[in-house]
Amino acid sequence: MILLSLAFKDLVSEPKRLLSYILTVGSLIAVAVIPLAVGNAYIQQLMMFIPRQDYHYYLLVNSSANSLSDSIIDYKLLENILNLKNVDYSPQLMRRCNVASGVGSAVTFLRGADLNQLYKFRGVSLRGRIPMNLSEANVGILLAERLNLSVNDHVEVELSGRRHVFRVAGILRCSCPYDEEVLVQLREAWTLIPDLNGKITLVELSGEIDPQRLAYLNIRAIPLQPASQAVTDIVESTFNTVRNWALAICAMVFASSYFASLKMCVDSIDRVAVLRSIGFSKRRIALFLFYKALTASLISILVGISIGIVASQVIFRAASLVLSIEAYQPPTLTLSDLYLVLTVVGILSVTGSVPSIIRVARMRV
Amino acid sequence: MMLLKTIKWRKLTLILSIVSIASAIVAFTASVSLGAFHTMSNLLSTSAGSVMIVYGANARSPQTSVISLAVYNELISTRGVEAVSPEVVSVAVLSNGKPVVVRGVDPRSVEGFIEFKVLDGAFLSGDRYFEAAAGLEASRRLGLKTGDRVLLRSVLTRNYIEIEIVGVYESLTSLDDEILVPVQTAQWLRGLPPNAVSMMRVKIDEELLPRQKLSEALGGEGAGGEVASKASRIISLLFSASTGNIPSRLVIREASESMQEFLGRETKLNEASFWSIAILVFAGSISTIALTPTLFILDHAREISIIKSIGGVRRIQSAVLPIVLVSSFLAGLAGSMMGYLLSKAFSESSLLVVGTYTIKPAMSMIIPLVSAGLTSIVAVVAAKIATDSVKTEAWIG
Repeated sequence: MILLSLAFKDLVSEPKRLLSYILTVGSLIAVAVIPLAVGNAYIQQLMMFIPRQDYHYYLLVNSSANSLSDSIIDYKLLENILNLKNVDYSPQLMRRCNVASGVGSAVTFLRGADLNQLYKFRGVSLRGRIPMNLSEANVGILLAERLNLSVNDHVEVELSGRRHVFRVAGILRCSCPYDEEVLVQLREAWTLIPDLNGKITLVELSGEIDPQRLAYLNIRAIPLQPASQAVTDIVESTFNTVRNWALAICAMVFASSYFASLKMCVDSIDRVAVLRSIGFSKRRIALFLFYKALTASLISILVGISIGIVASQVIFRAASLVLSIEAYQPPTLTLSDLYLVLTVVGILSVTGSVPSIIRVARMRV
Repeated sequence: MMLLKTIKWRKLTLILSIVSIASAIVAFTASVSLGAFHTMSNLLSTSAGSVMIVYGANARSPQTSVISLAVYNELISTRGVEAVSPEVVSVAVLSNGKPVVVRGVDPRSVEGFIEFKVLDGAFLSGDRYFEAAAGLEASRRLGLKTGDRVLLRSVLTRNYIEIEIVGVYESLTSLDDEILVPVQTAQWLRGLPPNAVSMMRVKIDEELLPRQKLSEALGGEGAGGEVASKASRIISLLFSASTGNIPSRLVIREASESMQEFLGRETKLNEASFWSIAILVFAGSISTIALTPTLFILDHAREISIIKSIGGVRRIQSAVLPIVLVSSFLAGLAGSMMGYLLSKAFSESSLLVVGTYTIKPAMSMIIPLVSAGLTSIVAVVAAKIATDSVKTEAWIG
């Protein structure tokens, strides 16, 4: 306690020198704090622009599936559950297939669905009509153009190793992936692929559901149109860059502390000599110097963070005036960033001072 | 000569190390901040000759614009236009929640502007709706590899699609941070009809068609008539699936000019703003840089005071200051290189990202020279002040 009090008194007795130590370390801390504070303000401002999103559109798939093609859901059970809720949904069975005509062939998807409902759901325009039986299919306009197909032409579809010939009942246009697919009624798809009878690949759903409640059926509800999720991720990843850069600057604090404490120790040589002459051990002298460095570091950190926040506000407000930017959130540090800065800078500045203290404490004075 | 013999050269390492660290931090900041600016302003730049970007005059940026595909017909049939690449820019989210820019291209057209080096698998054929090629940076950041089937959920619409990654490419442009898909796939994700795209890259032969004449060539509606014979199969298909025309007022800019105009207008940022960040870091480091030569001089206080007492002030300055200047300048250069390499390492570890793009650190000769020059000047001034102050301190001591 005596040493601490002595170290403190020694520091404040020479305010000019104390100021130089504080400025050396504090200015670097301020430089690391300014971008963090400004970045926080921007992130808060951007987050305010992002409205809290309520999801109304979902894609239900098998939660164990790695891709849509692997997804298989037992439809009967799900249908019973969905019918109890006030939701619109479209169950679909999708399988990769090879489609051929006299002109050529293409790899695409065969989609089985309740086509009346699906076309209404997606706003599909159809030339011709919806398939009525097992021998008919609808073909997307891009696929039809590619294979030179017209309504009433015949097309060969190879599905799970079997060949099926369909009459093109209608050509659809929806500016969506269906434009390049073959579409049949869901019940016909189950007949075409008997292994998957009563099974579906996915459900497109609109309405409010609780995704957690479907989890026990091994079904994952993926929200569609995840705008806020995307913007949040983009904003945060950009701000993480600022954080990484600020941490790189903090490394400089270590070097800065080393030289500041070295200068402080050199300046204290007279005092060390006095303490030695009255019988202080090397260990106690090292402790005295450490307390001095610790006190100076703590003051530097507080001053550095304060200067950083004040400077960022000044720079920010000046920039707003000069650049005529509309008012943003004033720069500030979040608690987590404050802890991060305090921890990193505290550790670096204290450890940075240790080598010079040991050096001077061992010196013959 | 005598003074040189008395110098404790080991102490000079203090100056060298702190100056190199300070330079490294300043150079790191400069290359990252300027890199961020260049990354944003070169989002549409390529190494191809005279490339212009055609996009909607009312759009905030080329990426957010919507123009008629019919413009393609007009451009491709203009004398002096060598290549046209219609592109659709969309943002999608992967299953893991990570966003990525999905660019719809006609592979045959875009290869006229950008050289794609296929690192794995194959490039887009342009013929299949469900195929995609991932840029090198995007594949690293998002963990994508050839053969993966990826569910892309559009950010702007409730549309989704599962695509198959057919290959990984490197283009040494911002496209390395994106996923390339056929035009029609990106149109679906963006919610655009077949006859609309975001923008078009246009390569012109300036001898036949000066830049200012290109806008005059784009006078008509362009929708009439058959699709140009030069058009690829997929563009022809899109034309055949199109109904009506999208009226668009167009603007034509150079690639970097279009992005810099966007940055200046929407974010009020320009190159000077990013330089000021590096200057701010330098200002914060001044005290530390100044402290080291002071310590070096104080280590020689006794020798300097003796020489001063016999009238050798000039000799001290002519011996010490050049040593401080040269050594700190060299240390500054070495430190700047360290800073640049550090920024490269950060960039390659995907620690430096702006939006969905990896920041490519900028390195021009001016950065190490300015960084080393400024730090060595501070070191010399501090050494000069410390030398002048020795006299008083020494006599008092």
